[in-house]
Amino acid sequence: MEIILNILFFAILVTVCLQLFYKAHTLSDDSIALHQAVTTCQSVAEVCQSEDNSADAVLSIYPQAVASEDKIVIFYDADFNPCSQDDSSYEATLTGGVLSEEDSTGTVTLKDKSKGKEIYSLDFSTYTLKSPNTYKGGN
Amino acid sequence: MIQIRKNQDHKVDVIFILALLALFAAISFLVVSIGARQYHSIADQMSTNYETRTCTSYLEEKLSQNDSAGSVDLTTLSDAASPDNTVQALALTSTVNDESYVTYVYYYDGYIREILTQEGSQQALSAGQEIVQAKKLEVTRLKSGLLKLDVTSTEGKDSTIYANQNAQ
Repeated sequence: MEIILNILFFAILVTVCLQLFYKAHTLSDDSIALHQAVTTCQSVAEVCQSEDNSADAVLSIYPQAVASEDKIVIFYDADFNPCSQDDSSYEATLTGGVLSEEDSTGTVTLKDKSKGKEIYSLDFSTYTLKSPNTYKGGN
Repeated sequence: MIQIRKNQDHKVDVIFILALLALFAAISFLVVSIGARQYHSIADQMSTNYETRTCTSYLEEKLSQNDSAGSVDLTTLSDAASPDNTVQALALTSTVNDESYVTYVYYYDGYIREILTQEGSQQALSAGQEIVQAKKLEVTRLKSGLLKLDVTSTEGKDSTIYANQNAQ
């Protein structure tokens, strides 16, 4: 009886230890992915700000991105390097008025394709320097 | 006869206990070695993460701080002691009391370094303050205001960020 209890106790301890290791590994991976996601979203926002036409700016820096009417999707591999859609593990979706030049706001959302879950989302506003002539009224 | 039977039972008990002890020892060793490997792997990942995070955050912060017309430039920095020894550097110019000072951010001898000098003066590359360990820092100007910064950590992990300068 004592031996059976010993085996049971030992099995529980081993299971708890292995679960802790697995949890630590998952947390570490998630932390790296989150950091990369923040940096990636920030970079996309910076690129949007670099030109008056954000869509053109993004497509010139990320030529493998896929553009549709209301969004641009940029694909990344497992190491967060831009890649084609077929080789991608993550995707960043850029939406908002910044694409259609309706307004200066946009949102970048980074998603893990294998898990199907959003890692990080960044709302941003761009501003561009205008010359005084832009604000002159009349003819 | 009964004595022999008892002796055999006793032997089986001892062997079973010893086998169980060996199994416990083997599993304990396995769990400890998995834990050690896991700890090592997480420590490496944290170190790489720290290097890239510190480096990218530092560069972004420096560029944001110096986002004024003409204050950010890419240049080649040469060593005061041996002028043939050159590195690519990010030059951030600021004016204090009508004097121009330049902060150079560059990679030299395993570290991203920063040095503040009076404009035009030359310093030894090794004199720069060590910011963080890295394997490479490469800065490219893509458009008038957009900079591409490639950082490689000591573990060899590449990280690319884009930084836009609004003031041009």
